[in-house]
Amino acid sequence: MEGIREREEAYRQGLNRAEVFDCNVWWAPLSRGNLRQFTDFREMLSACEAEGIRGGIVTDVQAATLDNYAGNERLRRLLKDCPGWYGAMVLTTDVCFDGGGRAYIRDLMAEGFRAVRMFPRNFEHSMEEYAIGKILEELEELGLPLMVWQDQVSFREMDAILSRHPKLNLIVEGHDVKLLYHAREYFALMRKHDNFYLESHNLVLFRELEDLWELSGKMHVVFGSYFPYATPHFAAFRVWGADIPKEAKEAIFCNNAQRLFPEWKEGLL
Amino acid sequence: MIIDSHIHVGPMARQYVRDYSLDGLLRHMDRLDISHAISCNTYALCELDLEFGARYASRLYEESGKRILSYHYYTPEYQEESLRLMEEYAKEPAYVGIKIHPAFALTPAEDEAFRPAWEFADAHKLPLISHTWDITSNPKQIYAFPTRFEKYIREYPGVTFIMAHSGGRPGGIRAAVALGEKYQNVWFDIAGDIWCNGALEYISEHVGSERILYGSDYTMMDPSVMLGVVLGARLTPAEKECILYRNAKELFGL
Repeated sequence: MEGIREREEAYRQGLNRAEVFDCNVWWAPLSRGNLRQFTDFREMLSACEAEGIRGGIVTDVQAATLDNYAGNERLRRLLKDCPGWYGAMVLTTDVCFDGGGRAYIRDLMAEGFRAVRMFPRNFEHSMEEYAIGKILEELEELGLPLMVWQDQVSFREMDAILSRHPKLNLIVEGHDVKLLYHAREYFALMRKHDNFYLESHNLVLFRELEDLWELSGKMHVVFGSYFPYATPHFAAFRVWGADIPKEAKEAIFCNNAQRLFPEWKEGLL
Repeated sequence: MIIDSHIHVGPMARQYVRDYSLDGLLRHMDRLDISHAISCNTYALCELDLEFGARYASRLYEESGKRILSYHYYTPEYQEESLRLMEEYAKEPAYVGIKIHPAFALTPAEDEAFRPAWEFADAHKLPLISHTWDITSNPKQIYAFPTRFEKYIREYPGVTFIMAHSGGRPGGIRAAVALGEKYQNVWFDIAGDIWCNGALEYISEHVGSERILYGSDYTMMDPSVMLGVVLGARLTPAEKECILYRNAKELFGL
C-alpha cells in the first residue's frame, strides 16, 4: 500500500510545484449526462483547482453550440472576480459584417478573454481566407491564439491558416473525438510550422509526447484537461511522468501558455 | 507492482506509433513499474490472422520473460478456427482469458455466434473480456452496448466477465454499472479514452473496487494515461491498490 501512496504523493506534489495552467476547461451546466456535473461556476473552478490546476481558460459550451454571442456574454459575467481564470471567446465570421468586430474582440479582451475559438461546422461558415482573413489578421495583431477542433477544421485548412498567418498561433484541441488517428497529419504540421500547437488531453498515443519532442525538436504542446468532462489527471500524469526534459514539461504545463495567451496590457488597444 | 489487464501488442495501421516493439514496451513498463500486461495482439484482433496471432502470443510470453500474457481471441467470423486454436493453446500458461469484440465483428453481443466463447470460458474457468462502449456516432459501437451482454452474463454465472472500457462514455458506464450491481460476475476495466470525469469513483461506489482492473489500451494509449487517472482518483490507497494490481493478481493467478 505504501508504494501506491508514495507514488500518488510524489505526483500530487509534483503537480502543485508545476503551477499548471489549463487552457481547456468548459462551462457546461446543462451537461446532465456527465457523472460529475457542476451547476455553479465557482464550484467548478474550485473543483478544478482542487485537482492541482492553478488557473486556465474557460469556454462556454453555449457559445460553441448554440449562440456564440450569448455564450460569450454569459462567460464574461461569470469570469468577474475569478483571478487566474480567463475566457475563450467563440467567434463567427459575421462578427466583422457590421464593422464592429474589432471593438467586440477588444472589449472581451479587456474583460479577461485570452483566446479565440471557432466552430465552422456548428455555425456553417467557411475557414477560407475570404471568410476569416480579416478576423485572423486582427488576432495576429492582438496576439490572440485560435483554438480549433480537428472535426471542425481540416488539417489542410489548418495548414493554409498557419502559412498565411505566421504570427497567429493555432492550437488543436481534440475534445472527445479521437485525435490520435490523425497523428501523421499533426506531426507533419508540427514539423512544418512554428505557430502550430497541440492541446494535451487528447495526445494519448504510446510515447507520443516523447516522439513529438524527438521528431519536431520543440514542445509546442499546451496543457489542457477538457475539465469537467474529463479529470485533469487523464492528461496531467502523462506529462508529469513523460520521458522528456524538465524544460519540456514546464513548457507544456505553463511556459507555453504564458507565451501564447497574452497578458492584458494597458494601452494594448 | 502494477498489472495492465488490457493491451494490444503489434502494429495498427491507423495509429502512428514509432516503437511498438516488445523491447520498447518492456522498457516503458519498467519505467512505470508495470510488472505484467495482458494482451490481445493486433495480428489476431485486427488482421484476423488467428493462427499467427496465437503463435505470436506464445512468443511474447517467452520473450518477455513471462511478463506479457494473452487473451485467446474468439471471433464469430471464424468460429471453428477460433475454437480450434483455443483448444490447441488451452494448456499454455501464456493464455489467461478470452477476448471478444462485437463491434469489430459487427455482431451483436447477444448473438448465438458468441456462445462458443462463453462455453469455452465456462469449461476452462477462464475470464472473458469484451469491448464495451456507449452508443455514439460510430455505428459499430451499438453491438457492444453493455446491456447486450446480459443474456450470457446471466446464463454463465461462473464466468468472470470483464467489461473492457466499462461502457466507455456516461451512458454506457451507467448501463455497465447497473449490470455490475445485478451480477457479481461482472467486472470492469478502465482502459481507453474514457473521458468521463468521475467514472472510476462512480464504478467503485456502486460495485466496489474489488472488481475493477487497471488497463491502458496500449498502443492506442500510453499506459501512463489511465495510471494517472487511478493515482489522481478520489479513492483510498487501498482501493487504488486493488485496481492497479491486487484484483488482476487474484483473477489471473499471477
